[in-house]
Amino acid sequence: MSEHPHDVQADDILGPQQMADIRKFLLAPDSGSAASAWPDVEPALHVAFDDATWGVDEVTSEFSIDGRPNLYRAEMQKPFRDFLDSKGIGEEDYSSVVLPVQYNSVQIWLRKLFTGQRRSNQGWRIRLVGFPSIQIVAVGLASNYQGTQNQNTMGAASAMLRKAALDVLAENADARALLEEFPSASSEHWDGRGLMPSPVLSIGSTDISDFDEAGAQLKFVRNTTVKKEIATFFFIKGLEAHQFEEEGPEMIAGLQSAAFLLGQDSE
Amino acid sequence: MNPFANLQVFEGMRTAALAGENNFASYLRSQSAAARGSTRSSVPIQMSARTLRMVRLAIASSHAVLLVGPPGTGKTEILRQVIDELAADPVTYGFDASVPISSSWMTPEEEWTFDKIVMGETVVGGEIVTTEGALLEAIRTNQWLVLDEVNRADMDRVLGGVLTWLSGHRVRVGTWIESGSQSRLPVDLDWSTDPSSNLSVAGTPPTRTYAAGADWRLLGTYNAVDAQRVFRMGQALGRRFKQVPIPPADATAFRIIMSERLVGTLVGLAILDRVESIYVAHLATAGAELGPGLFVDIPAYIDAGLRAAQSRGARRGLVPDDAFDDASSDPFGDTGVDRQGDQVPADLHAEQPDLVNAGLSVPIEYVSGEAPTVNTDLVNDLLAEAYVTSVGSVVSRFEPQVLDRLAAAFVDSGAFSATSWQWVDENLRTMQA
Repeated sequence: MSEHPHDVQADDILGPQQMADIRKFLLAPDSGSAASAWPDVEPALHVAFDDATWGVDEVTSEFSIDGRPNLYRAEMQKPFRDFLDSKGIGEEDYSSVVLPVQYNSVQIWLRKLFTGQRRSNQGWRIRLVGFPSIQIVAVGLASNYQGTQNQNTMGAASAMLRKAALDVLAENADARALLEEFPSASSEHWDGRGLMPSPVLSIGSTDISDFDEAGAQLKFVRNTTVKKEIATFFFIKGLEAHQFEEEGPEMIAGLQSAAFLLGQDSE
Repeated sequence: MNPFANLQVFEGMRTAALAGENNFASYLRSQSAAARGSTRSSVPIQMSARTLRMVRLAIASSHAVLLVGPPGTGKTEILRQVIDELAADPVTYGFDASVPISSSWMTPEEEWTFDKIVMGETVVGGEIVTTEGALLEAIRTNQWLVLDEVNRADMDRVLGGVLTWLSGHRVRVGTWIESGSQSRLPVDLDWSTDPSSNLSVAGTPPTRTYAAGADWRLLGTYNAVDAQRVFRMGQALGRRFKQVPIPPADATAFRIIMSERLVGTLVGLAILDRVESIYVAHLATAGAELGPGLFVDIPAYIDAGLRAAQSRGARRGLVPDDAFDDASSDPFGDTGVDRQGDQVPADLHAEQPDLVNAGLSVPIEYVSGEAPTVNTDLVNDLLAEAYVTSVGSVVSRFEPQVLDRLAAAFVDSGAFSATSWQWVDENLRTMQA
């Protein structure tokens, strides 16, 4: 397979300032902050991922009016609901706990895969997804989500796609070694604590350390659509905010190289 | 091909993965076979693991095997894939690893005789000489013989002379006349306990013996529907073969196969339900069951018709050239509403092109937040045409009562309107003439 042809790779461009800017965007608490942060991020990403080869875009997903109360009603389990009640936090109050933005995301895709407009419901891409309420960033390679699919089915499919991808990269030791550190998405990632390297003990500015020393689960801060989006990751890893800034350049460069090689035609 | 390097191939792989491990494994096998150049996998095989096991084990344990089923069920493709598998891993199924498995494929013709398949005569330099038929040649070259659509020829007549041999016994099949030679050697068909087949001339008087090896196979596909109209295999010959039924894919598997075919088309999932209902009507009608292979080109026909209509509209300045490229009008797109009613990514809410007010009757209607609907005469007409061109040659040969039941199933399910079916029926009668 071809080597990555570019002299510039992501970690050449993404220094401390650039990573701080990306972190600021990914973990922006509201859409206004995200929109303000993006102009500082976009140029650096376009240099790190050259326009001829890669497409880059962003998404901010805000909760709807009923979105955050619905997390209280439908997503969290009774023990956590009881804990919140004990702190005087009811269904409507949960809107004050969880931040307005559910996630901010960056998508980076190989242009060769999409002859026309890039479609979110086709193909695969590099994704960086920030969850502001818990200060966690998920990174990896994801396929796509179509509205009628169940997350467990998607997760099982992601495991198969992971194996197929590692087979494609069988002769690229470095790319394989990097991606072998990334599991495919499971319920631990889309429901539980799989994205949290260490316990997350606050949601927004609300301290939940008294609830469970294991910390928050993702289901406390995400809706069912996002659950399914997470299930589309066939390589995924979660990073705390500071880890993302520190380890991000090397990790993003590694994903860049692996994704480039993964998208090459067989010889 | 690397499935991650091509969007459509990736989506096909992803669809297979969503259908479960067996389907995914089957998909990878078909892609692998295609890459090796041994076959072009035009329709991914969707079949139960049990049926696949039956095929493998029947071939592993019997000298003669037929795959039996309606047209379009992928019998040929299945056979190619299984032969590739056995060739890649012979030991697992009891074959000798030192004897490479290769195959010689033929499609019988109606006029075939014993001469064609076993041995015949020709004139060389004014002399009559004997020629090997496909069977003798395959044994001599140690290649499995595969007869695709075996009932296109009268196999009772063609293979009648070797029935005893198919039961495992030595049989004399004729006399060998060599060019320029005065000798006439008896020709025997026999079986060897060695894995490999061979031709020998030995004995007193010398006998030309074609001995099929223990690992040699005679395989075929048998079209159960066409058997009504072409040649039905008699019991005497039929029981010499192990017969593996290959049923048509069920509706779920059909949907998986067709989903891959819809990627990149204008109609997308909007037409899938219609085509699926046609397929299901066939499955539900006794005597009318057909495999998905006959239906897979229907989306392409409709897509071609819609693009032609779009192009004509664009040339008249009524339809933007990129009207159907808008991501928000993508039939695969998320409706934008999940059960909790939360906001979906902004890129799925891009502005819709105003095609209706452009004054053109559009084939697909897009309403923000809803799945696109296909409900106009153009698409109905294209669907009927695609059905006739794809499946008509088979359906036109159905017995009248089968056709009547099928028509009722179509109209009851809404797969075709009464008007559309009337048009289809008229064209089927043309094909019968």
